[in-house]
Amino acid sequence: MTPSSLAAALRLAFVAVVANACERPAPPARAREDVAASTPTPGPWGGPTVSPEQAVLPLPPAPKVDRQRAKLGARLFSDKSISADKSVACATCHPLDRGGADGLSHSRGVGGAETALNTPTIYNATYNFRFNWNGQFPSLQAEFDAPVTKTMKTSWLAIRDKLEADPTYRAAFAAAYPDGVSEANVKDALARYIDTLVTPNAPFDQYLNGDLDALNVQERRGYESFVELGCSTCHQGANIGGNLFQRIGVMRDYFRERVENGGPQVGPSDDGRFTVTKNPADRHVFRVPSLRNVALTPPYFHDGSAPTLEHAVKTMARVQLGRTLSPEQVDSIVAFLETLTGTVEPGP
Amino acid sequence: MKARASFFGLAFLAVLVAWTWFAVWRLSSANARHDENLADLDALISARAELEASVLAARAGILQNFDAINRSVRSLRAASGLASSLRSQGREYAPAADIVDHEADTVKNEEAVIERFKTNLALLRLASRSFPGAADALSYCDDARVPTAADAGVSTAVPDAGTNGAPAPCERLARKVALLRTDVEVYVDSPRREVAERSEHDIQALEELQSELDPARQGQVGALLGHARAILDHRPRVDLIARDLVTSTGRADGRAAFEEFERVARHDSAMEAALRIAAAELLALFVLLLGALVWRTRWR
Repeated sequence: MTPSSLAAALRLAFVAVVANACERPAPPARAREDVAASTPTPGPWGGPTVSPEQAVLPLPPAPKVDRQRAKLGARLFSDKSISADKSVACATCHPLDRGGADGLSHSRGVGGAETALNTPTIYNATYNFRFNWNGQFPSLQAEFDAPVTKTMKTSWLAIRDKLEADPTYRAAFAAAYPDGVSEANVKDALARYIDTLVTPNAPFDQYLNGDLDALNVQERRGYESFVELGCSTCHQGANIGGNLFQRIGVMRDYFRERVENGGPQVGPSDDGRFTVTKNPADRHVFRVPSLRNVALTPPYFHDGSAPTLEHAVKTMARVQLGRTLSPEQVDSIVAFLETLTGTVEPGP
Repeated sequence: MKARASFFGLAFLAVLVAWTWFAVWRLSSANARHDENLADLDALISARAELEASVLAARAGILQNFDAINRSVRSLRAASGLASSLRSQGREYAPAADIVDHEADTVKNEEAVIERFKTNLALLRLASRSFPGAADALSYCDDARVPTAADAGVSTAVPDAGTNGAPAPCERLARKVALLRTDVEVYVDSPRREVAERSEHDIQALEELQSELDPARQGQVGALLGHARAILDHRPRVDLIARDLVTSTGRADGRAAFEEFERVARHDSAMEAALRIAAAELLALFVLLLGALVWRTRWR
């Protein structure tokens, strides 16, 4: 090699090195879901499009999750052995074959102890903005502390020890998580499984996506009443609820009526968000429940005091809207609510 | 002797080249995270912008659901994690991390405000939707068909409808309802204090009349007054919260953190570039000296 060609090669190397060092980073790409959220979704049947601004939106498909972790979460979800006396699993209060709620006004934990509040459905919980009736928990992982300590009467330490002692769990955790069994990983596995428990493609979703025949005349009338009466000011978004707090008894005193009708006296479990914020303005304020699959999950309300949908619709109209509905209105709204029952996605 | 000196010189140069490349490697592996961090900071700014846009759109009635607001809040919650991540990269990133930490605190405090905004806005929408219908229902009543409280035996103090020249309860009710409706609608359009005071006066007048009506109408008036009060109460509250949210320091914090991080990152990138050049030059010098040494040994 001649000195001049060596010099040329070195110059080339300098340029490459400097160019590499001075390369500007590409602007970060916008998250896909943000783009999706701001773009109207055309109806697959060529019908009306869904605007992301409208009050009620179709349920999106289940988020993509790590199947191995979700599978592990599914096993944990129905494993009674993790509770103190091996009698209660997550699935005890959230049976998946009953709409994800146990049908009791108050669920029973270890030793038959009743929960303070009615158990909401586990389906589509991943779309809630906060968890528990009083919205105490900002994430599913944080929420798990409540059932583990109060309903299962155990601790994360005890659960970890039990899982560590089981070779099949140990192996499953080792395969799914680099650090094996830990409290964070148990919570993560459960959360990933709950992410898969969504029920898209309800007749109402099909209707919103453009299949106008998915609802009959009565159901459509019910939807119109639902919007016109103002139910959708609170029961809104893709989960038709679960995305804001609201006082129970906006127009009339729900609790006085409950007591007058022979119901229980007002107690600490009726305080709602006040238990979290200690702000008197938050007394009797609860997270608005999702209406997805509502036909499958009686009884209703935080106290489980409404045994049927008809009862719940009439009570809500009275105490929240200040209205007395005609029997036809009640029937049509109930018919509409029954169209919110979606299809359970196949497990992980 | 000269050969030994040359050998030591070359060895020293080799060590220097190796050290420089090692420094480049360390810096470049740290700089490799810059893209990720910049993307995270950019996502934070986008989430803040989306939150402000969603709050304004919701207040304006364009956005009828709160999913977008919740999505933004969820994205903004990442601020505290990002602050820790920036801080772990070294002392020079601490100022950027501090700003992100400040934003995380702002978000934490704002979450309760955002919840109040959603709750109050839902109540305002509900009242605004129900108020005209409730007013309509009371505006077209017929004294001949509607029993008064006196007819229902609730009170005997009510004058007979239209017998002594005074307007019948229904007529008075319709007039007062029309007044309230006008004032509330003006207030919705332009929330001025005098209009609010006038509306309060209308509400009081209707409350006074309420006892003269039959129980069914009393209930209707009660609902109407509830909606009117909700509008008068929630309208200014919602506007105030919306204003506070869109003028929050959050977005400025996000931008400041981005700029501070970019400044430090640019300095690190420049340092990496300089070290790469130095390493390459040292390598070249090493090769030239080695070549010269070999050439000299062979041709001497």
